[in-house]
Amino acid sequence: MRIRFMLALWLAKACACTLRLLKRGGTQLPGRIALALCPAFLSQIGLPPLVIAVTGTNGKTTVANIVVDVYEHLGFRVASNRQGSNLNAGVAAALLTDAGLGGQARAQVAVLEIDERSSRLIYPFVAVDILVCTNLFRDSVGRNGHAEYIAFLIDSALPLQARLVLNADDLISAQLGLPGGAGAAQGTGTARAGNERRFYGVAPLPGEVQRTDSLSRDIAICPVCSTALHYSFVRYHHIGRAVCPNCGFHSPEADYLATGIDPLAATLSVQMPAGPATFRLLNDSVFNIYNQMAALAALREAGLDVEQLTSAFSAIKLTESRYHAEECGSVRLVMQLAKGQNAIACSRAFDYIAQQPGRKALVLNLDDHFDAQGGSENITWLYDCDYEYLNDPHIAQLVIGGVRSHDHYLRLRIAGVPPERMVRTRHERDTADLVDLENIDAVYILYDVYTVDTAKAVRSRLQARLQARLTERGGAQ
Amino acid sequence: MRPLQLEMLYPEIANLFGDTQNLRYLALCLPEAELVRSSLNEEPAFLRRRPDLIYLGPMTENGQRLALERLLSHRERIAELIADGTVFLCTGNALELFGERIVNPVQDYELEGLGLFSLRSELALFDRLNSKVLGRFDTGASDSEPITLVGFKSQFSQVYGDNTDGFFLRCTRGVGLNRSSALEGVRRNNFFGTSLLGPMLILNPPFVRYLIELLLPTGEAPRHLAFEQVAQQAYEERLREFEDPRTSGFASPSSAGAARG
Repeated sequence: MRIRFMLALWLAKACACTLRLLKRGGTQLPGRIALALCPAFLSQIGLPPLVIAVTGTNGKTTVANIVVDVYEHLGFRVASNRQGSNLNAGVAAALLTDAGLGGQARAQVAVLEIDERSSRLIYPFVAVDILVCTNLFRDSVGRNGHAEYIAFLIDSALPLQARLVLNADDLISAQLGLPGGAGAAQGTGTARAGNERRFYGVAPLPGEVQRTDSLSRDIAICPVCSTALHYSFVRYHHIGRAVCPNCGFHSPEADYLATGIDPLAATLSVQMPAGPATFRLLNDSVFNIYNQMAALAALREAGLDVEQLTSAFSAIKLTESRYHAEECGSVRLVMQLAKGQNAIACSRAFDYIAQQPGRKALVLNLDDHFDAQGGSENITWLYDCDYEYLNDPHIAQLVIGGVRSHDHYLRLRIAGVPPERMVRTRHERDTADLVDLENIDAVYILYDVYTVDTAKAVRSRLQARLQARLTERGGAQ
Repeated sequence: MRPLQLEMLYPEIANLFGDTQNLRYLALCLPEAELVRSSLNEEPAFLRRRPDLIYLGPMTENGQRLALERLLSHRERIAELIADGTVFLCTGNALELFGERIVNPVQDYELEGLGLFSLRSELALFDRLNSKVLGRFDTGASDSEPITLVGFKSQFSQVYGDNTDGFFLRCTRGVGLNRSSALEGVRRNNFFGTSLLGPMLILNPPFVRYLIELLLPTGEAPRHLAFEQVAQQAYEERLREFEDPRTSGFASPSSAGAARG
């Protein structure tokens, strides 16, 4: 068995080396080779003394990146799948790349982003010390089914030794790791012991408007007695604070609670078990406050102290491929990821943009090229997504690109957006030329995870148009 | 004359995949209609009156259990309404509730269904079926052509039983009740049960026109659909794509099922 493992390790490492020389790193190919040659590879590869896993529907990449950045800033050697996939092969690739020739880990900490659906292929074999679940929402219909199913997948694979770091404001993921397992609340649980659990949350922020009009709420009834839950605070969808008026079931209290932010000073106030502390705020959108809180709670539970966290949060920034903003003269140009096929991620992006000040133009390039490979994308998710948020008088123009532009257009009409505010084209790159730059304060380019390059091309063209306009106006003066 | 009444059952649980927008769209097409939402812990409206349409959308596996707990005591009334010609539209896994049994080996339970159709559903939680569907709906009228529907299915369940005497669609691409069947869903009088999910009405304006004709009193002038032109354009575009042999993503019925269908 050991010989098989060593052979798999060396061949996979040779593959990883070759890919690096060819400047084609970041693939999961070495991991796939390792698992093909040695199916038990993940249970035999050496692990660093600390293994942190991050999973969940939305935010897991951002949270994992923050955790990696913090450790690296503090001088730790980190093994991570940041450049690779979050499936079992990506995890294998990350661990074997870090391992020495004998299979022993060299890193001090492993930070692994885990696809929720891969739980059963990873957790039974990789001894995770801390497992963060950011949230569980409905997601891609074909890939994920529904949030309750994903909770079942994770919960039934949970390693008992793992300390869970969970979102106190998400009643679905907050039920992970309960004694009795996934069916405990419904009375169909097992004899399984529970996990040690810590919770983080974000208190209602000053002036925060509750989003009670989200189209979907993945948990509306009490999981114990099926009575309609009473939400005392609804941040969006099912994120908030709920209690069952019949049996008293309620949202857990947060051990790490964001109590306030100061966007101008870029500070985040946190109440922690050891007392209050203030950190640099990485981003003022509420979903990124959750991401920072998830990372903060995990890092603190992993043993970092407040001074280390303060220092690291002051130095790091969010990964640019997901959000990038710049000023082009008087116009703010923003690239923002809004994952196609993920109704909640897009709803959150729409809501965030609608709440930003000023008159805006939006470029919507949301076709999922991966799903469209079959020739016609499944568009059911459009009708779970809150396009209604884009029916806002301060959104002066919506430029819709892609082969599914007529589907988005119809969805926006049903959402009440007047047709005169919309233009559409089948060609995503053409959207840049269709944006009306007059009398607007910001242009947002929303793009899917598979179309970053197209989004960058659209941004370049818009930069050029805005620059030309500046030059023209400068000349006129 | 009383306004049309459209009843949506259990919207707090039967709301996955954007399906509830089907009724929203129908209400946009029929602005005079009254939309009644009957929640899980109240008596359904259909016990007190005869709605013109009763809609039940897809739900989680636990949602199926909760819905059945409520519906089983109304079995006779539901059977009466179906026999009476009330329009039912059940999408996604809602249809399974009307069969005899739902079996879930992974989570180790069996649910007794309403038993109104001779169907048995088996859930395979680690083997989700995703498929596009292109199929023909027979309006039953001798002077009209079948309506071609486009749609999507995504399900853990395979439904078994004989629907040859009353199916919703004959699939020309994609699969029906299960991987061996080309006959999709069930139909009895005006009960339409399909495992197509998502905004199936919005995707299929010709079927919405048929449904509205069914709901309106005989002789009433046909209605324009909400955003008809763009909805029709989107439908025709998708139809072209689904009819294109290069488009993939259609599960294929096995030969045995194809012969049966």
